[in-house]
This record gives sequence, structure tokens and C-alpha cells, in this order.
Amino acid sequence: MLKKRFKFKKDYSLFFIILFLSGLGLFMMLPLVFLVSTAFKPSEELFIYPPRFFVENPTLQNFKDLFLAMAGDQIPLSRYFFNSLLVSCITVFFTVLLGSLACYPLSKHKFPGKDQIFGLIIVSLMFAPEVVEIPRYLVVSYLGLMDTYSALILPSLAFPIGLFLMKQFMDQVPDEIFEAGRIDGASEWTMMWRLALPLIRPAWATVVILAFTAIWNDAGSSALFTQSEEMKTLPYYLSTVNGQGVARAGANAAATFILTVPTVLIFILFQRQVLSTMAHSGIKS
Amino acid sequence: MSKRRGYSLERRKVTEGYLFVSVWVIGFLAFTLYPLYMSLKISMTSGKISDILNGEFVGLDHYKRVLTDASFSQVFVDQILKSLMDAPIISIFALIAAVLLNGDIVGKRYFRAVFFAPVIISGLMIRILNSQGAADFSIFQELGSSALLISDIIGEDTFARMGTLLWRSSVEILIFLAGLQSIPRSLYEAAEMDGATPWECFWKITLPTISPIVLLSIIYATIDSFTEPDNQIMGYIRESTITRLDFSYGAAISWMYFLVILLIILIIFYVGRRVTVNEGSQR
Repeated sequence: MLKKRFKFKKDYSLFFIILFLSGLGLFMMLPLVFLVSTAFKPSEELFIYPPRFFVENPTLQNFKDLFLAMAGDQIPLSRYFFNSLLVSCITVFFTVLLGSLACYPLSKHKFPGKDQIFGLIIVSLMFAPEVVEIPRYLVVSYLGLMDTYSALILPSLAFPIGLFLMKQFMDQVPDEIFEAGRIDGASEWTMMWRLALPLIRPAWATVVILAFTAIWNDAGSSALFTQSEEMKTLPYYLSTVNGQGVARAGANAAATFILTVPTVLIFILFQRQVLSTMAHSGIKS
Repeated sequence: MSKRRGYSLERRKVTEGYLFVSVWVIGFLAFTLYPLYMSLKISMTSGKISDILNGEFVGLDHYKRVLTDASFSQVFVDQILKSLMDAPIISIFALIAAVLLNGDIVGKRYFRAVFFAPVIISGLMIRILNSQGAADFSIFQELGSSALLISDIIGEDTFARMGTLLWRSSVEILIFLAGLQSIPRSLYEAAEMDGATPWECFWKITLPTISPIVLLSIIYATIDSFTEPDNQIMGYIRESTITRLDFSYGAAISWMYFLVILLIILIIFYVGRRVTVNEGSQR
């Protein structure tokens, strides 16, 4: 009897938790809803003040406007898309690789200067990106990288937030696992690839999503480090559509929508990894 | 023999450590640290665009100009107060969400995905709103008055602010989830045996155990709030650098702003260290 009542009470509170989470969850999805509905708004709805969340008379006019705006250009849209995809994929791959390499010793080894390196990373997080924009330009031009893919890739490889998150996850992995590995004769290299990296899979999935979103949406480095039109990336190009004023607001909304599709795909691909529970180590501490 | 071996193993670990970190550090030096040094130099010289690095040394002149800039000090105080309020709200919300998402509930996976989703979209959304001239988030007025009752109770402004904060808490939720999962299950089992309610478990087990993570999340949220590209000071820096081409002034603002952030973070860290529960052993 007592047990039954307890169970009933538990189900009851569970119901409320789920209700609460559903409400909040709907709220969390609003930006996505807004983005999609804005892309399909006819121009008179775009300028209602205050703006509406939902579209009333959905139309494809914005997309037509966007393609009309692009029709006069000499460089095909596919070129911008290719540039963006190439730059984003290479950057994300190396960001994760370098971050993994660096986070393992920073978390699990003791060596002089380790705390200083980590301190520098935290401090560098506190700077506005605008501060380093012009000096970065000077570095890139000094290295002779202007107008190359390297100029778009190299500066964003040292991604401090990524390393910070990966190190934080690595701290959660018990040291005993590595001690066991060492006793079994694994080299540092093996331990890193076979033990450390699989264990922090949620961290690198997170970094993939964050880094991809940041780089894919970044119009700034394309504007700064490249001059020729065929080296520009998609967000830069779409921001030039945006720059053409109020008349292009509809086309701009459609452009933003198109720009978001790849990041949503990456999110769907990797979110399962991010949110999978951290591997249970099987070690009781 | 064992002693010599141990030494050489330590030694090897050190070199391998340096080796693994070095690639990242080289990139960091070239594209972040050295540029930061250059911007410090720019902030103390008066260079023109054509020859920005070899300007005349003027010491702290630009910094004095920042201090006497009335419009800037207004923006500055506003932003600092705003950021200081944002960080705890984000952290508390993220903690509540993470605790709920960590429980045994139906459709846990979908809920987690939904709570993490704003990470890819919230920045863009703010950009669209700006481009439509609705930077004040009046969008919530419509939603607030028609769809939800809460806004009437807590006021529309607060509601709008809260909304944007919730969308920015995704990474913090993730940090908390990772922390919650590192708490040994056996602690809860023992507490349950002794008749502790979930409420007691939260205050006596969960919160003390993850208190270092709470500190981490507050620091992350504070930094994030101070450096998000849409805040007023970032706009001010961008304006003076790109629109007015006054690089030295922009760099001086950035460095002063950075020093204030650093000071605030150090205070949070110092206070936090005393409040958080230290685990006896280093993990």
C-alpha cells in the first residue's frame, strides 16, 4: 500500500517535469520557428512592427527575389558554396584534431608551463574578436597568405573555446584508466587515440557543432583576407545581398534561411553524440 | 633501477606533453597572442592606416581619451551591469534544466536535443531582428500578450530578457550535464536508503559535488556575455575601428574593457574558490 502510493506520487511529479520541459522546449525552438517563418513572409509582413513570430500568408517570393538578385553575378552560387564547405570542413577537422592533441596533456600530464598555457587560453577568451582583426590581417599578409584558402583556415584553427571545453571534459575522465593503460604497456600515443579520444567523444561532437556554426556563418574573415570574388564564401556573399538595403529584406530573409540549412544538418548529425551520456568508466572512485 | 626508470618515464611524459600541445600553441601564438600584442602596441601609438605599426608612441593618451568620453562611459556601465545580471540567470536556468534532463524521463534524448538546438541559431536570430529594426526584442510583445500569461506577471521587459537568456544557455546546460554524470550513483543510492528526499539529495549531494562546475559555468557565462558580438561595447569598438578608422582608440577601448573583465573574473574566481566545496582528492 505504502509502496503503491509512493510510486503514484513519483509518476505524478514526473508528469509535471515533462510538462514543464515541454513548455520550455517549445520556447527553446522559437528562434528556429522564427527563422523559417521569416523566410516565407511576404514583404508587407516583414515590416510589421512589432514583428510577428508566425507567417500569415506564406510565399516563395523571397526565394525568387534572391535568385533574381544573384542572376546578374559572374560567379555562380555553387562556387561560394564550395568555398564555404571546403573551408568549414577543413577547419573543423583540424580544430578538433589539434584540440584533442592539446587537451590530453593539459588535463592529464604534469609539465612546467601547463597552467600558464591554460591561463592564457582563458584570458584570450575575454578579448573581443574585433581587437585582433587588424593585427591578424597584418600577420596573414606578412605570411603571404592573402587570397588563399589557408588565410581563411589557419587563423581560426586555434579555437580557444573548443580547447577549453575539451579540457573540461577530459578532467572528468578518471586517471585510473590511464594508469591501467600505462601498466598494460600502452604508449602515450596509443592511450590518446584508444582511450582519451573515444572517452571524450561528447566533447569533440560539441566542438564540431560550435566550430562549424562559427566558421560557416563567419563573413568577416572572407571580407578581410580575400580580395578576388572567386575566393569569397557564402555568408560574405549573402551579406552583400543584405547590404543592398531595405528593398532586399525579403531576399535577405531567404538567404539567412538557406545559410542555416547546413548548420542544422551538422547539428542533427552530431547532436546524438553530444548528448549521449558520458561513457561510464566502470571505475569506482 | 626503478628510480631511474621512473625518472625517464616522467621525462618522456613531459616531452610528449609538450609535443602534443605545441601545434595548437603555435597557431595560438601566431593568430591570437601576437595579434593581441600588436593591438596593445597600436593602442599606445598614433599610427595611420597606411603604416599602422610604426606610429609615434603616445603612451596612455588614447586611454585618457576613452576615460573622458561621456557617451562611452554610459554604454560601458550599462553593459557591465547587464552582463553581471545575465551570468547568474543563465547559470541557474542551465542548472535546473540540466538536473531535469539528467533524470529518468520519457523522451530524454529529444528534450536534450531541443535544449541544445539554440546554439546554432540564436546569434542569427538576433541578426535578423536587428536587420528588421527590432533590436529591442519587441517581438516578445506579440508573443507575450497573446500566447503566454507569464509575461503579464513578471512584466514584458523581463520576459523578453529572460527569453534571450534561455536561448544562450545551451553550452552551460551541456557543461552541467557532463558534471552531473560524473557524480557517482552510489551516493544517491546511499542517501535514498537513509530516507532522503530528492529535494534533500539535490541540496546535500548534487550541489556540493558540482559546485566547481557551477563556478566554471558562471565564469563561462560571464565571459560569453561580455564578448558576444551583439553587445553595445562590441558595437562601439566596431564603430570606432571600422567606421571612423580610429584604430588606436578602438584598441584602447578593447584593452580597458578587457582589464575590467579580467578584474571581474578574478573576483568571481576568488569568491567562488572559497564558496565551492573542495573535493579532498585531486581528480
